Amino acid sequence: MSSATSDSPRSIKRIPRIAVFAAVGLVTVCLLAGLLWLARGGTFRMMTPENFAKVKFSRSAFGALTPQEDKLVVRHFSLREKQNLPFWVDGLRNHFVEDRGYTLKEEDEFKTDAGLSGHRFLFEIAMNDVPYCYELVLFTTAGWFRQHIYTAELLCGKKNFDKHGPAVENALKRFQARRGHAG
Amino acid sequence: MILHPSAKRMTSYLDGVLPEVQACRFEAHLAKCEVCRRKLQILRSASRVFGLPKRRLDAISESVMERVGQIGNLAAWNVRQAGQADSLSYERRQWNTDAPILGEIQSVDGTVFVRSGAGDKAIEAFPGCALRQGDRLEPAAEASAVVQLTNGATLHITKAADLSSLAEAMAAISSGASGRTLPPSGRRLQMRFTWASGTVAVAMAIVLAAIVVPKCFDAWERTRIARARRDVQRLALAEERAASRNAGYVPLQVLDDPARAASLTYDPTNGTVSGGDVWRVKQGDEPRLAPVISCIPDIIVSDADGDPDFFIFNNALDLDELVSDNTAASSLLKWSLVQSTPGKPSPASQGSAGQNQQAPPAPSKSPAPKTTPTSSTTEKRLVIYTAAFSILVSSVEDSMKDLLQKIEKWNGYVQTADLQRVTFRVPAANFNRVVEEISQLGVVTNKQVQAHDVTRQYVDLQLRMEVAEMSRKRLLALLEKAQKTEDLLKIENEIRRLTEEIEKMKGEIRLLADQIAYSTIAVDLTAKAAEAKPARPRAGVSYFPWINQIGAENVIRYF
Repeated sequence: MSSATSDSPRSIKRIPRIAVFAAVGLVTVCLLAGLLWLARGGTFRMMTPENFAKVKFSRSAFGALTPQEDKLVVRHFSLREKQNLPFWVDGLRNHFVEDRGYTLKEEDEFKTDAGLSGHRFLFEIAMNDVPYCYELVLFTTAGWFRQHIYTAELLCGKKNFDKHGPAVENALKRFQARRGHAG
Repeated sequence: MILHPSAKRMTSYLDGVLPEVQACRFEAHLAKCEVCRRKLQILRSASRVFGLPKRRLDAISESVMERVGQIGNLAAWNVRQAGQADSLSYERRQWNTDAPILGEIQSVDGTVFVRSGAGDKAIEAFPGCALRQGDRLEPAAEASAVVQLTNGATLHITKAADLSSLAEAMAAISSGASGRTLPPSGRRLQMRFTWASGTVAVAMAIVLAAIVVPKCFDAWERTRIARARRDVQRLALAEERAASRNAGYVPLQVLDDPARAASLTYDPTNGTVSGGDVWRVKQGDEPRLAPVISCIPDIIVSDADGDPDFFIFNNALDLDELVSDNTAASSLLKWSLVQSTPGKPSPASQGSAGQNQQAPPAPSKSPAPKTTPTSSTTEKRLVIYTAAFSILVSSVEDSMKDLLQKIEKWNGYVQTADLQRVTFRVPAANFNRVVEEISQLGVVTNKQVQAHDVTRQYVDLQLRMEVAEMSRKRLLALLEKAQKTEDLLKIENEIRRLTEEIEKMKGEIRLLADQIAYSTIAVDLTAKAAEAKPARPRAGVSYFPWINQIGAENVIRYF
């Protein structure tokens, strides 16, 4: 008992001062890094389209609904596979048409006001014998080690698409990606 | 101020390597300086004591040499010249220091000179002085010396000794003693035999023998017992074989000395033995062991049929002794003996052994005719064959039809059948052919063929049934003679019990015979699966996980 109590002060005294400084510095750096990581905000910036209500949002996703419950979802994916936009465009087209049975109605390039290039698909699908329009806009940016992909998906009834499509397009024009750089 | 020469110069002078001019100066100094003369004497003495060349004494400091010079016995090592001439000229004489040492002078009484080689100069001997090859000892008047030789001998040299014997002794020294260099201290390790050491050695030998000898005997005994056990096992196997071949009778075995065994005579006609003590072993439910353990018989007595009837062991070992020695062996050797004298059975052996004695061991001469089927059935084994197949066929229906037709062709019949599985029986004679043909119906995925030997079971049942029938016949005869009602009832009950038992055994025999006559075969037919058309792997699922998270379905699921 007495030896234990007498040993502990000695062990504290033996710690080199430089080690204490190093430990304090390391903890400080970790705290600063954590604060910076917390302060960096979301992965993208998206304005809520007109006649939509933002119901879900997080650092990497955004969800909004219309009064008719048409759905808009914007998501961010961080990938290890680094490929350019045409690669993913071909992949998505092939997947939705060949594997899922979507009908591709329109397809064109899309560019935001900030100059970020993207690609727009308009598919037509039937769920429970009800025709739906599914609009998908794809943006890609390249990071140092990963690739960032942003998708904006609008799912609405066929008759509502003409009504909500322009509003979503206007909102996407002001879309800002905060990860990677346009490449 | 007087400058004295250094120790290095002194050793160089002693070694004779000092230049002539410096040597003359040194000698002139020595003539005047008593101190340097003493130092020179000490150096020479030290070189003798340590057995080192003089040049290596450079390392010895002067102070050390002073201390050496103060030792009393060294002070007595005063080297003198024989004719009291110039000591310096004598001290420069080159001793044959490289010659091997023959001995060491232990003690000197009077004046004894050591003369080296053929020179006319000598030094006075002193205790501890090394005697080298080529040296001669010359005692003065009434003087003597004792020399301890390197070979352990002691040489006494006196004036009165005969000079010729002295010369011979010296010659013996020169020739006998090898050139071994004494250690500097002059001490040698001497191994001397004493009574105490001898007693200790003998005691140790006795103790070792007391430990080792019993161990050796134990090992020998264990080996002997293990060999005996192995022999017993082999003998038991041999008896088992002999008993199976001779309707349950094991051969007679003789436990006697070779002379009596040789005088043994055996009459195969009536199965009697004469001329010695015969041990007959009774064969019970289990094979019993004979009281001999030698597995290779020295004499085998056979009759006309060629089967061995006697095994005579000349060097037989009595198992009684073995059992009394070893408790482990007693559990192994569970045997029962019936001792009989030829022609005069002992009371204990008059039952079964007496019956056995009249029965020759050969099956043909067995007294019990009941055992005749045993010998006949052992020649032809009774085996029940069964088989089971799992076969992949292209069409189960077609194969089943084909199989049913074949069963009729094989003179068989179907026991059970459903859409895919059929169990049928065919005559045992056709079993092999049927198995071969079934294997050609399709792809055999599983095949099991079993053969169950029921010879013993069949023979046992037959014997038991025959004995029961004989008993029932006797009871029926008794029933006719019986007059008391109580006896009649008892006999009728016994007859009823025997009848039931006989019927039961007859049923078992019929079942066994049926199973032996007809083999049972089960065939399981399975249709080959149609070749699967390779579908697109992971339809509707992308190899990129993030693509699987988008789409209309996932949008709905997101909210």
